[in-house]
Amino acid sequence: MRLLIVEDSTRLRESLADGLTSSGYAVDAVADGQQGLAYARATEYDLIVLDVMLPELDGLSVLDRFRKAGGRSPVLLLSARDRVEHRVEGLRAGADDYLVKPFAFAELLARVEALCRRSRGVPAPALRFGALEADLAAREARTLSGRVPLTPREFAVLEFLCLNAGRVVSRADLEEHIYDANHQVWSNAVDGAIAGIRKKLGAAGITGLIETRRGSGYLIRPPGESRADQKARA
Amino acid sequence: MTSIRASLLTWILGGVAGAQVVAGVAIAVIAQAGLTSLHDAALLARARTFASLVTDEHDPIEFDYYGPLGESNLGVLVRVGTADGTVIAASPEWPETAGNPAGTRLAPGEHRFLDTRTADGRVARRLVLYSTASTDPEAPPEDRGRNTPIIVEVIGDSAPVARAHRALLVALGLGGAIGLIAAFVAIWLGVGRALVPLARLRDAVDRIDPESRVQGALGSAQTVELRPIVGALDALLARLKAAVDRERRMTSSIAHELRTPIAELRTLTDVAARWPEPERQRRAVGQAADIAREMQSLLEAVLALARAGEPASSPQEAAGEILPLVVSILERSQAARSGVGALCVISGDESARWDIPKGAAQILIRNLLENALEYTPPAAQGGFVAIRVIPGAVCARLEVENGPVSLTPEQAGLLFEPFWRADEARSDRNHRGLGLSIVAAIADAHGLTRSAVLMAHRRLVISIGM
Repeated sequence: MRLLIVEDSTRLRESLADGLTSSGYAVDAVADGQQGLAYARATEYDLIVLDVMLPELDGLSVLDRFRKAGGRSPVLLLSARDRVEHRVEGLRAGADDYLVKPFAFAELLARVEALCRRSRGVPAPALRFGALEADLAAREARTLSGRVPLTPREFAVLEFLCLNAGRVVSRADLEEHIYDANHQVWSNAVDGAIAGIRKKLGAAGITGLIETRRGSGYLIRPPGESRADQKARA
Repeated sequence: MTSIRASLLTWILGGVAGAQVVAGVAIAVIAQAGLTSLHDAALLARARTFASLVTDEHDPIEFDYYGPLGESNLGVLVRVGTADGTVIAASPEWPETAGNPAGTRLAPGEHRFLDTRTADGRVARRLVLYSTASTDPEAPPEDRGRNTPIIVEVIGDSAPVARAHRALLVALGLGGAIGLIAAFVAIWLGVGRALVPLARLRDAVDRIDPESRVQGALGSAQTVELRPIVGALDALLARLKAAVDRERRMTSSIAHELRTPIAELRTLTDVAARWPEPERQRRAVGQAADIAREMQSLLEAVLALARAGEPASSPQEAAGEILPLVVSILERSQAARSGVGALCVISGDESARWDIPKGAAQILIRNLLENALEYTPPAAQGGFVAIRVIPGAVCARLEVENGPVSLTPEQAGLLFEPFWRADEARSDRNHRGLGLSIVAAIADAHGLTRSAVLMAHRRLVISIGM
């Protein structure tokens, strides 16, 4: 999942980026409203964390312009303004959530996860595909035999495929949502990650979960429609 | 604690009692004089009657009264005699100690009164009337008499006068006491009634909240006397509300200012605790120390602002002439030393003075100058700072003009607001937006006016003084 952080405080911006990156997100971070708007328009982020008080262009103006330009990414507003009217103003301007500074990083992370899930129409934090359970909150994959040892990057690929279950996800889509702007993406990076996931799932007794659509991308079928399920029903 | 009712009762009753005593004494004295005068008049009338009964148509002179001359018969004592001291007739109780006024040179018809005592010791009034023996105008000339000078003396008991006087005094005393009691009751009730508006005022003040006014709460219950008090209370409420609002805004601003550094601190520590890698932890500790320093700097700036509005606790040296202060502060100014490069011009009257404490004046001038120097571009880009010291009839004025500045007229009006920063400075933690607030607080505390006006060609003029 790829996030954009727009925050003028260097320390807060870097800490958030560090924490979210360590949590498996691809993170782009900018310091002012103009840059934030430019980044948000250029890339379809899974979530934008937007400070309200920003130099150049304030957060609410960024949000307003972004929404008017058709931007659909969920937006989490961060603000030192804590009054009800400020929250209402932010939410009415098109934000999906509003978090008042100071906050616990765990709360921000939980809200980021929830917003990412909801934007994909997934209400539950854990997704089950046959014998596999992808716990988006704990950021781990589990089978009946235990935890599947995926790397953060591999889990991010699996998470994106799970959240888009039933839809063919192209390599470009995966690259855009898994890697941040500063990351050098090798041509076979996604394929390598998919291979790694398949190998580790296979070792856990799960095969055929991720289907390859030649020339199009990858697909995980929704629960009950996977080949494994179909075989089981047959 | 004093009570208005008790105080009014004491004063009004005291006044009434005092007036009663003075009036009572006056009445008693006048009554005494009046009663004595009436008594004397009665004695004089009796004496003249007795004098008319003395005839000298025949020798010897006769007193033609044939009844007993005792006090029980006449009601007074009488003695009739000639000017040479011969007693013609006298009451048997006539006191021997009364003496004989014979030989006194008084014209016929004249009289005089004396205080005396009867033989049995009663206080009495004695009248000595000089007259002449009566004659018969119709008698032949040889029988008309010789107009012999006579002295008629009458002594009347003063007891009736004293009794009447005592009765009057008793009546006055009783009347005064009843009057005092009536005055007490009337004053008690009257003061109670007069204090009702105060009770209503108290109820109104109890009822009002910080947003309302006594005037509205009291409505038609206010009196002419209460109106100025209500006005003063409402003005006080308005001032209090403004002060509370200012404090509330200040607290809110401080909380707002603290939110971002605390958010930084929490995120740093949360992330470092969740992924405890040595490099991340080392970085977090370093940044946490920076945040602590910035928060301390904020705290010191807030305290400086709070102290700027306080009156000096002890007498301090007055600022005196402004121009030398400006020059010395400008020389020492950090901004000036760091070579901002704006063209800086100082002009003004060397005699212009401020009477505010020197320490406060120095902080005010330093903050003004550093703010101007900080936000003025270098001279190469047209930046300039002009400092003018202008003498005034009451108080000198210090004007600091700088430009070109990136402010709107509305933003210029916000320059004295605590924590307000132009957008370009908002992310800079070294600028708290308190420098000009401190200037404003010092100016307000010492009765100096202040203004910040954006002029043509993006020139900002901040003026402090009168």
